[in-house]
Amino acid sequence: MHIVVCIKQVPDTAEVRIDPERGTLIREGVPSILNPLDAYAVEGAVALTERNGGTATALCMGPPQAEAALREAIARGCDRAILLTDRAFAGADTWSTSYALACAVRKLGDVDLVFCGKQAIDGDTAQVGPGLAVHLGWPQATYVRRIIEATDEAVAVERLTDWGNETLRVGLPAVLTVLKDLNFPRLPSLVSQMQARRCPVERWGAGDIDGDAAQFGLDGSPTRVVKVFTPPVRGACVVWQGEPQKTAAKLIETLRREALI
Amino acid sequence: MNELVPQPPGMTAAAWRKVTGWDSIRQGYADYLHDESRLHVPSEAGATASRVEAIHFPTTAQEVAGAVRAARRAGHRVTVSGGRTGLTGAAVPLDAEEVIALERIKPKPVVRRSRDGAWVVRVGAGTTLAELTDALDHGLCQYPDGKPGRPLFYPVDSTEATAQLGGNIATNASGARTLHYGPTRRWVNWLKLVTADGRILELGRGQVTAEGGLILYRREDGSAAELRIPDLPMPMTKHTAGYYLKPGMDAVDLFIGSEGTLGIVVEAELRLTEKPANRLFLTQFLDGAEACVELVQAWKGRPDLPPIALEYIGPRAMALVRSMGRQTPAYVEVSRLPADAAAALYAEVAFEDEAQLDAIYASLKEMLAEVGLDPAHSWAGFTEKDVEEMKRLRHAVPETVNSIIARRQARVPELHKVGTDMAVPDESLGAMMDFYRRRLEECGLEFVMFGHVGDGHVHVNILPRAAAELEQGEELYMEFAAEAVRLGGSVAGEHGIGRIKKVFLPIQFGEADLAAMRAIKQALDPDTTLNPGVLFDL
Repeated sequence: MHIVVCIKQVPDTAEVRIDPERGTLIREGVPSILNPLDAYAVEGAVALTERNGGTATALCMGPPQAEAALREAIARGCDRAILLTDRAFAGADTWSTSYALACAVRKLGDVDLVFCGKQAIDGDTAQVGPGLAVHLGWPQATYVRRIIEATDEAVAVERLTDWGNETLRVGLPAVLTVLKDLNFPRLPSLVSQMQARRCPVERWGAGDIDGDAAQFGLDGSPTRVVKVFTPPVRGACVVWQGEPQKTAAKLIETLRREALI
Repeated sequence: MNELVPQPPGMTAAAWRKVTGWDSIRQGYADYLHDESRLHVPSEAGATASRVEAIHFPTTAQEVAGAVRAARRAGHRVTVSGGRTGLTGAAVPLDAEEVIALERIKPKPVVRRSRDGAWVVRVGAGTTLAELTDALDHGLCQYPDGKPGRPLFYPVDSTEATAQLGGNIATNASGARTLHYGPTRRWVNWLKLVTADGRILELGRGQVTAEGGLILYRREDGSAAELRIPDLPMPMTKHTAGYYLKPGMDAVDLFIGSEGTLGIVVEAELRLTEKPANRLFLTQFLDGAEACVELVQAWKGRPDLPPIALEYIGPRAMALVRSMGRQTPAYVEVSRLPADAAAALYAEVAFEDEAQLDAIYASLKEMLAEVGLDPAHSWAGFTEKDVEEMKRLRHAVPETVNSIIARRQARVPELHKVGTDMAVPDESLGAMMDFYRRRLEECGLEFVMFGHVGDGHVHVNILPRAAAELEQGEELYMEFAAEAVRLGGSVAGEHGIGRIKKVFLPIQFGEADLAAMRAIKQALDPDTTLNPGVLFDL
């Protein structure tokens, strides 16, 4: 079984500070990390290949420094790493990104399953995984919290929905986007970290993945950012002060009255 | 020069925030009545032991001096309050009528070059370690000499990030990285202090030294008090017990680690150092305590592998954390522990570039092989994120101990953990750890061991199940302290003495040495205005 894990390098949003005087984001000292939700996808893929045999390939689109995220995926057990990096990919939205990733998956040829994290913590769109499935024309299961069974033909998964859990059997090849519940991502050992630091990371450019160049990068991105704004505060805010117990009782009573609980 | 000459604070309007009255303090400011030790000012209604009548929140040195003067006029004594993360009760106002909380003294840190070209940062006492780290990392300080070319940091990492820097200086705090960077003392360049008589003393390193074993203190009336500095037998280990006294010493060192009994630190200039370009973080799993001692000894014999930190989690500590299952905050990390990981040694090593990392890796593999350990039986990483995950396991040990004790207290309220703090020279590490284990097992007590093994400073936490075990644990602590001193170590490596560890001072020092310390206290603070009940009963 050949599994591809799509990962992204993101700024560590926990380290983003706001300049108290200017009110702007401070980029200084903000490290880039493997998107935390992708670590669950990596672990899911690696664990499955360990159980069923096969290989796990980490795939990432980004600037050259995104190689660090791929090395982390290797340290966490992936067998191979490919970085899609080319100026032609710059400015890609989720449509164009998932298109380029789909081209790379197709180019790999023998892929049975693609794992993605639920979403990236910078854009929070959760669109690339589903977009990838659409571009590939493969079935998909999103918000996967458990893999019940995996064979060469299909995977049975449990996915989280607004109304409960749903069990699906998905024919392969397929795309899965996964939740934190899936596993506990392993911490790499000294040996695996050093191997990851020394292993080759393949670099593929736009010319290597047999796609329609018009769909790459900014030109291939239908998304237009019209305006960025802070939504106005809706409704009035009420502040109650006083003894914690009495205030809590008042809050509960009010929420009940408003039929909110 | 050997004379300390504090200056009068000048006129200050008493405009700082102040809370008065025992009832308001008891109800709204209970946090100021305890620290992280078992001590607290009883807050039950009607308790007569408590007499805290005011808490001051000054914002400048002048206001601190004003608060001290106001307290003195009322015949009151003062407890100095920082982040209250201490473990010895020094910030618990049990013998004082007023509290001076320094949390509002936090001007924006100023990073500049000192005369010798080194980068320094000027901070207020109330700035927390986390705030300083954040400001340095994200360029949020003032930079009158321009921003430094490479990232700088303040390397003393006392475990509690909410600790305030004034408190860190007053207690000569240290942490995991003390192995490489030393304790707080090594990083303090200059202090602004408020004296017990409410004056302001600015004191740079190198300015006032104990020439001929003597420092003079100019009193407000112009007369001079003599501080005689004896030659104390100081242990060659981490050590924070009593005053730092050495012939020819710098007066700055007298105040650092004096636990707020000689003066109140309100501002400080701290040296900064370049952040290592890269760091390797390693948690090597072990099969037991012996393997740890062997590995630490091998490591310390390798000049090609200078560790920044070497931290230990013993087998009982590991088992205790594992036993908590989902209840431990480190549940995720615990779930990922290899099944046969009985104990662990955490290490940090700095490197400049890939070539150096290769050399370090080769040395590490060689050293681990020599002591029969497998480098694949480990966790390793290079990022802050990696180290956070590893540290959660380490922090889970005291957290687990505290939560177990809290449950037992529901049954037997007087129970508390007995947490030791002795440090011994490297060559005695194995003997000390054996002694701990042998005596604890002989007594049948529940215990864990963890901590700064690279500094010969392993903490023992005893978890008594009943009052008799508590008594037994406290007796053992005395026995351990005596053994540590016998082996050339310290009774208090980093927690200090405060209120609850005063019994250990006479184990460390002879009566003449303690008398010399008390004489210094009396010369600088004849009315015992500052932190009464801390270090000594006067």
